[in-house]
Amino acid sequence: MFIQPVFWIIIGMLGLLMITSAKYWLSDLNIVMKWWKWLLAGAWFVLLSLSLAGGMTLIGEGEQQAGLYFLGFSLLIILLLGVGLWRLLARKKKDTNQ
Amino acid sequence: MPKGNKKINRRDFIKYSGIAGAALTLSGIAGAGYFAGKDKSTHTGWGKGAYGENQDFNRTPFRVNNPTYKKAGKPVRIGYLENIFNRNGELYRLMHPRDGSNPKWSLQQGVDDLPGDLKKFYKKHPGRLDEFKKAYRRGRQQKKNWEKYKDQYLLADAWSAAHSSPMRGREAFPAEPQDAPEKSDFKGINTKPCQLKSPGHGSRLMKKIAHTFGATLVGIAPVKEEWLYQGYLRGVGKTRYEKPPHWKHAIVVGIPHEWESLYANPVYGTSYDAYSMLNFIAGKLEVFLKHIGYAARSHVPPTDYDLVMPPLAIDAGLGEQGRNGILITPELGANTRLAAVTTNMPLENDKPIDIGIKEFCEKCKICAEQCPSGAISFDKQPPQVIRGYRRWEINQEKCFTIWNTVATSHPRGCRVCLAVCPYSRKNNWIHKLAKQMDAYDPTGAFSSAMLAMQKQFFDYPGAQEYLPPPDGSNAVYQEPPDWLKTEEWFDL
Ligand code: SF4
Ligand code: SF4
Repeated sequence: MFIQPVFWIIIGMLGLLMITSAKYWLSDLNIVMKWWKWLLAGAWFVLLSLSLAGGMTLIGEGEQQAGLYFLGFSLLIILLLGVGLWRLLARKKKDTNQ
Repeated sequence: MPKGNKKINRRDFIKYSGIAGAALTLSGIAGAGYFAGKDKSTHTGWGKGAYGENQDFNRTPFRVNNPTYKKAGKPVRIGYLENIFNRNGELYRLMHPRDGSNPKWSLQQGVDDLPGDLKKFYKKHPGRLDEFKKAYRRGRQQKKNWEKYKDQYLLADAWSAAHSSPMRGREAFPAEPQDAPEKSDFKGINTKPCQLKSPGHGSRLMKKIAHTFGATLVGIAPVKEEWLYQGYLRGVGKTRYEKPPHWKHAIVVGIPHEWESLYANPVYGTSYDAYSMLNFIAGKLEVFLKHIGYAARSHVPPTDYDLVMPPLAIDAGLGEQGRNGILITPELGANTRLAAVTTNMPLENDKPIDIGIKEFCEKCKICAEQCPSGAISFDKQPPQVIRGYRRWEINQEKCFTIWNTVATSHPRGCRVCLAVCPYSRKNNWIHKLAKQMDAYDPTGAFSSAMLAMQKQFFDYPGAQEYLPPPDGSNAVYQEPPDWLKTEEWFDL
């Protein structure tokens, strides 16, 4: 579809904006980032995106019930992972303050 | 405004834009997912496979030397009467002789009143004759019921009739063989074959040609004696015969049913859409092979076979046999219909594959749970040895009773077990990813997780619901497409 390349260009630009914005947020919160922290944060965001896309794909193909369950179940897990990840990122901040 | 403030504002602007950007990205990805689900190009239909791009599962890491069917004794060729259509045909001809003479058997009579081979068969398989009688009576009821349903399912019936029409009568293509293979398979060859560069070239060429004729899947298998029918050979009739020496290889082709109608089984779907297509593909392959100087015979649905298709397709590396008795392929799942062409063209055989379908079937049982006839086994491991192989067997008679029960104009099938199989899902990214990850996981943990989701999250009507009232509600697995709903186009 002709719109596809445009879609991915826009997503790429938004991704760049998100990374720049994240850098500012993290430095303002005194969180020191290491390469593996970026990797974990990136993996978490990819997981979140895949879960959203997966649930919506099921809804799109007419499996509403499966799609909603999938979204609820996977978003709950991702939320828990997100809390864990945030604590991991923020721990460094405490270490730095000590 | 002081310079410092300006700097803070720009920074804040980027910070908050990032949040808005994340929200937009996630919405975009959710939208992309939704449209990927809706996309009709991911239906496992046959529309876009002209160059084989739908045969896209990488089989190489899963090639094995020994096929996944389990030998458990001396292989025995399938008998003519072991095919339900053949034995039912014989019974119908006794009940309604073609020459108009008096019936030679009736439903009021028993197994002892049947002639030789039929009597032997039904004595060996008690209960099957009673099931035939039940199916026959249900068939009469089905005809009566049709009056009630014929408007509601008019388009589905017309769609099925249109697909079955090219397969009927003298004009059918490919033509029924009129002679023994030694004669008929060579009929029409008027050239000597050119020197083929290698059997590998032969296989690659024939696969490309089969794809251009519309085959979604193609594989090459050796023709093993044990997959031949015994007691009947097309072009000859009832006879004893050995494998003709020129049946060296079989080119096996597979295609799916149209996807939307498959999901709306049993009443909106048909088998004939795939069958008629397979007749064209195999028939054209036969003509093509003869044109370049090789002997060829096509084996096509619904009943024009001298060979049993699923094991042949397993040998050709297309897939594995499922609990529901049919071939399951990584691309099309249980939505795979088969035909083959036997030939003496030098070809390179494919190796079978093992992607763990049997192990998945041991846990899954969804087809057995949804089957309205109870014809599919719930046993974890196949309990029977059938003609020398341990495998699950479906009860053909029970299945046929349901064909005679559902709200169609005549017994034209059910196919619920094809539609509900988790391997038959749409070919979009999420199901493809799941199938790939399952195949590469040797522990089976991924498939257990997928199966748990499949059973908890997905909605199934329930076995009895597929039947007409009062036993069920004429349920279909999924909503039919608008083009099969009469009420969308006509005032009822
Ligand atoms: S076609 Fe229907 S009745 Fe027959 S085995 Fe499959 S689900 Fe059961
Ligand atoms: S529905 Fe499940 S048990 Fe049945 S054939 Fe498909 S995978 Fe196997």
